[in-house]
Amino acid sequence: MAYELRVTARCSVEDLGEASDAPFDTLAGHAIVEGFRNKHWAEASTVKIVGSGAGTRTIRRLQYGQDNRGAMWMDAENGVLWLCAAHDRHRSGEPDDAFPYFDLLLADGRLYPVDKDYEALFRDRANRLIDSIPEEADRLVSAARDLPGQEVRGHLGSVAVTLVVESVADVGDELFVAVSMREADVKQLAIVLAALVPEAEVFDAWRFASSLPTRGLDEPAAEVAYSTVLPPR
Amino acid sequence: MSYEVAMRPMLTTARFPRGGAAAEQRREAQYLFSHVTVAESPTVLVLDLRDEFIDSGALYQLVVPLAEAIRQRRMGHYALVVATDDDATIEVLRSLSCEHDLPLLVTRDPNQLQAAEPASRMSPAKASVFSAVKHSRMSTVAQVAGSTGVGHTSASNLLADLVSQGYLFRAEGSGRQGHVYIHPASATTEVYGEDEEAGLLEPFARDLDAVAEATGRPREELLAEAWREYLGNHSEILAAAYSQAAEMLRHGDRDGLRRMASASAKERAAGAAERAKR
Repeated sequence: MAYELRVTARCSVEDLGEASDAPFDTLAGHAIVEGFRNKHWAEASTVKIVGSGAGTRTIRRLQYGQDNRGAMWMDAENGVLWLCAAHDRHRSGEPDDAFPYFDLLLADGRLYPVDKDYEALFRDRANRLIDSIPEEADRLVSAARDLPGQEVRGHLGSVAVTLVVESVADVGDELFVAVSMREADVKQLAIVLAALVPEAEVFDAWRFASSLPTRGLDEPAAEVAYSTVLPPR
Repeated sequence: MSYEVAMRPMLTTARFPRGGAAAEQRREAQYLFSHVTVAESPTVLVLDLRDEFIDSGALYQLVVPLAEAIRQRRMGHYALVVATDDDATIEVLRSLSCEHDLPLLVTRDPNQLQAAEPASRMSPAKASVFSAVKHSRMSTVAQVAGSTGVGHTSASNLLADLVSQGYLFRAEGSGRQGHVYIHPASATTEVYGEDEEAGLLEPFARDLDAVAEATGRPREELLAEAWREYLGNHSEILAAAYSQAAEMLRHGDRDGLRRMASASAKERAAGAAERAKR
């Protein structure tokens, strides 16, 4: 699964001295965020943690160069790797040691993302969904029509979709769409379906599908599926 | 109704008394007791006694018959939590609970049901089992046995006692799925299906971790099940949203689409942040 990289508002303001809603690209001017973006953490041969949290709560350390240290949290539920804290004057064992600072944030309950971090995440994702239509929606449907019987996978914003076109004699091309509801809500589902087949003006044109022609629904992705008959090309 | 939503008790709060002299409070107590309806599904009734001086007779007239009715299951499936920050009232409640064997939970803050403690003293083993369920909010026998060190049979018996006494609820298991024991702190005021559609995901999502832990089922599987159940039962909500989206797409109303796509951002964020704290 792909993870989105984000910096918490607290980290942005207090640790990096930037605005709480500063774009990620702006923050990437900071060495620790550069290391975070360049997946320096993925290359670490040893995994060090902050505090004693285990399992899904584990906060991992990020080391970048001599001076820069960070604290990261893999938020599996929302598909985000958060940079929760940063320190650019790290000296091990000295007053500027980054890790007592991270421990303090953790103890104060200020390390994990909060409401405004998540609200910004969900608003960004909603905007990316709208940015992707109609072009990406049209491209996916066209690709599925070009490859009948085969799955065409893609994303509309952060919403994962799988399309399969099945040719039905005397009826035409029937489009099956599986939408992952891990990161979508009802309104986003409606937008996705309406964007894929704008010719279907009312929802009655769609039918609930219990599977795709190629496979069952993906449980971990929380897929739901619908089908409709496409208009002739 | 979905599995996890069905497991969450409903939360009802009644403020008592609303001021007045002793005689008036006693009439109010009788009135309140007579208006507590039979609960067909698990319900947590919080009596919020804060802020007003309470007459001890009125307290007796309300709490004793109510708690006795709950213990005897004459009122259906209730758990009774009394919220008071007055030490003397807490002492009176403890005495009443011991004297009349009443299933009373006491908290100083009605918004902190997790902090509610039984008014009467429990045996160490039973207190430990109660505490284990309180910690996770929903637990199976195996989980309680594992976390307390109490043997499986003893844990099962103690949990059954706590249910019969009115301190916990039990959701019946089936097949390989054991019973799930539920602490009153998991109660919710939200009624599934009555929220704005924008927030419909969140009532599921808030409880998924606890249900997943209690049932041993993967969180993702519960989410998938919840969505299919919801969309199967409420296709009219999706149909309405679809009409709205199709209309906006026809008119190129991208601002409207952005507002629609982000309508649930705040509600979803609150739920996600709450889970990130755990």
